[in-house]
Amino acid sequence: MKLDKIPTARVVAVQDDIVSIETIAGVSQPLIKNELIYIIPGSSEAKYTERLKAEILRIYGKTADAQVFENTVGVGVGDLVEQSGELLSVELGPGLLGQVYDGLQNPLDELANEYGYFLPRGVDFPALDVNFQWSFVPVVQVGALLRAGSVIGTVQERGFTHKIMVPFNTVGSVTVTWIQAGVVTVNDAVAKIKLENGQENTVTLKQNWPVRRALSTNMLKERIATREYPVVPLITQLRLIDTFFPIAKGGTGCIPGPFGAGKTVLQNLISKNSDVDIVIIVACGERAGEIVETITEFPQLVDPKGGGSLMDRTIIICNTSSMPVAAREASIYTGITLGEYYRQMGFNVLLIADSTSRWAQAMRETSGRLEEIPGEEAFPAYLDSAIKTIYERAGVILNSDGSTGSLTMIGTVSPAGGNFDEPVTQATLGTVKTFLGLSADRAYKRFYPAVDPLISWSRYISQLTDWYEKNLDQGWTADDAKNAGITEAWR
Amino acid sequence: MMQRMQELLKRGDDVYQMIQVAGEEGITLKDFISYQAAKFIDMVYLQQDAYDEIDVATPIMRQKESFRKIVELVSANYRFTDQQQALDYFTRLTGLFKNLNYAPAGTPEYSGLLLKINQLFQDTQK
Repeated sequence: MKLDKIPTARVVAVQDDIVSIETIAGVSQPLIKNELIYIIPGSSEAKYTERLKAEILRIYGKTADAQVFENTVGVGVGDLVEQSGELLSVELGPGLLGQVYDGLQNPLDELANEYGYFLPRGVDFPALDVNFQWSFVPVVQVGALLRAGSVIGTVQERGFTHKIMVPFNTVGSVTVTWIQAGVVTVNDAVAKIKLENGQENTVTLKQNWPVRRALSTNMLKERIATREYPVVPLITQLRLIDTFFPIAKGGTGCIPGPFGAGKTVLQNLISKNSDVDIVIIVACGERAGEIVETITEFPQLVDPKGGGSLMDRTIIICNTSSMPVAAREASIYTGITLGEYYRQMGFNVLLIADSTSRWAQAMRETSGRLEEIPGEEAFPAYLDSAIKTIYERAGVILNSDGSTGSLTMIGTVSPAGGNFDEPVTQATLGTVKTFLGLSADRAYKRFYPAVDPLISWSRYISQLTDWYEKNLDQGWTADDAKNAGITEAWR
Repeated sequence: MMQRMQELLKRGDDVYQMIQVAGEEGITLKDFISYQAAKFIDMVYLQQDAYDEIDVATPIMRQKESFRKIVELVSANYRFTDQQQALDYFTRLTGLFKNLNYAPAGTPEYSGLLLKINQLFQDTQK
C-alpha cells in the first residue's frame, strides 16, 4: 500500500456515508471543520490504493464525523485516515473550459480513459491537464506592486483571454520579484512574489480555492473589488423571459415545475442562447440520460456568439442520481467557485443548477445521519440559510483592473407533485428575484416554454427600467394602463 | 407596455374561467375580445418553437419590434358585430403572426407577412 502522507487518524464508526474518525495519539494533527480527509479501506481488493475522499463536518475533541464522497462498502473500524490539512477545494486555472467534471472536479473523460466507463471509487485525478503547454504572456514587470486578484499575465484558453491572477487569499500588497514569458504547464512557476512579511511565493497558472468560501471574500473586504448593482438584463432570447420576467446579469432566478413540464429543455435553451461568455451547468442529482443529451449535443452545436463549438465555453459539473450523494451536495459549490473564478476575469458567467431540490435532498440525507434536529419535511432547520448562501454568491463584481464580471444563477426546483408549498421551493422563492413557474397544464397543452405568465414574477423590473427605456421603448416597463389611451375593450 | 400586456393576460384568464361556467354565449362581446386578444399574445409571443431555428431564439431588437406590433394590434378599438367575426379575425391574425415568427428578419417573406398582418388589421378599422 502506497500512501502519500502518514495516516494521522483512524475510523471508529461507520454509518452509510458518515464515518467517525479519531486522531491517533502521537502523530495527531488538529482536526479542521470542512477539512478534506482520505480514508484508506483496509479490506480493499483494488489493484491501486483506494483513497476515499471525505469532508469533516463536525468535531468533538479528538473525534470527528465526516461525510464520505464515495461508496463506503468495506470501510471498517480501525481503517487509517490521512488528513490533508486543507479544505475541500477546486483547482482554478486554464483548461477548465470544455471539461466535464464530477461533483469533486474529477475530469470524467480522463477517468474513463484510464479506468473505463464504470467509475472506480477512491481515485483522484488532477482537474487540470498537467501536461498541456500554455503560452504565458506577462502583463506586469519585476518590481510591480500588486494585490490579491491583480492580473500578472494571460494565456489563451479556447478563444478567451484567461487572466492569471495573484492568489486570491493574499493579504496586503506583494511585489513581483521574478516573472517570465514562455510556454509552461499549469504546475510550472511563471512568477515569484514577495509578501509584506518578506516571504517569497511562487505563482503558477493554477491556484486552489475552498469551494464553500466565496472567492471574492478577501478582495471585497480589502476593497480591491466591489459589488455592483445588477442593472443589465440577461438576454436569453426567450421572449417570455426577456419581455415579461427578466433576470438581471449577475442576478438570480429559479425555475420550479412539476416533472415533465420542460425544466431541463428550458435550461438548455437558456444556456445555448443567452448573451453570456461562459456557461456552467451543474447537473445535480438529475437522471444520467438528461445530462448525456447535453454532453452529446453541446460539442456539435455551433456557438451563436463565436462560431466555435458551444462546448468551448461550457463547463459541465455532472453528479447524476447514480453517483454518490455526498458529492452531490458539494457539486453546486464546485460549480459556483468555477463561475466566480471566471467572473473575476471580467466575464459574464451563467450558472445553471439542475436541480436544487436534489441538492437539498442530499443535504437532508447527510443531516439525518448526523442526527440533527429535522425541520419541515425532515430537511435540516438551516435549509433556508443554506439556499441563501448559494444564491448570494451570484452578483456583479467590479475588479481592480476595471473589468466587470457577473455570475448569474438559475436553479431549477423539482417539487414533488408540483406542490410549490414544499420547503425547498418556498426557501428558494424567498431568495431569488425571478420566478419562472412552469405549469403542467401548459405543458400538457404543448405550450412551450411552459412558463405560466400568471404565476411567474420578476423583481428586477424596477432596477432594469433604465436599460429598457434606453435600449427598447420609452414606457416599456411602465404601468401605463391608466393613461395610455387604451381601448376599453378589456378594461 | 409590458405591465399592460400582463394585465390583459390576467383578464384573458378571468374570462376563460367565466367561459368554463357560462359558456362562450354567456359572456359579452367585449369580454370575448379580451379573451381572444390574450390568447393571441400567448400563442404568438409567449410560446416559442424550440424546433424552429428562427423562432427558437428571438434577438432583443426583434422582440422589441414584435412586441410593439402586438401591443398595437391588441390595443386597437375593434368593432366586431359578433363573436364569430372576432374569432375569425384573431385566428387569421394568429396564423399570420406565427408564420412571421418563423420568417428570418429582413427577408421578403418577413415583410410580406407583416404587410398581410397590417392589411388584415386595417380592414377591421374601416
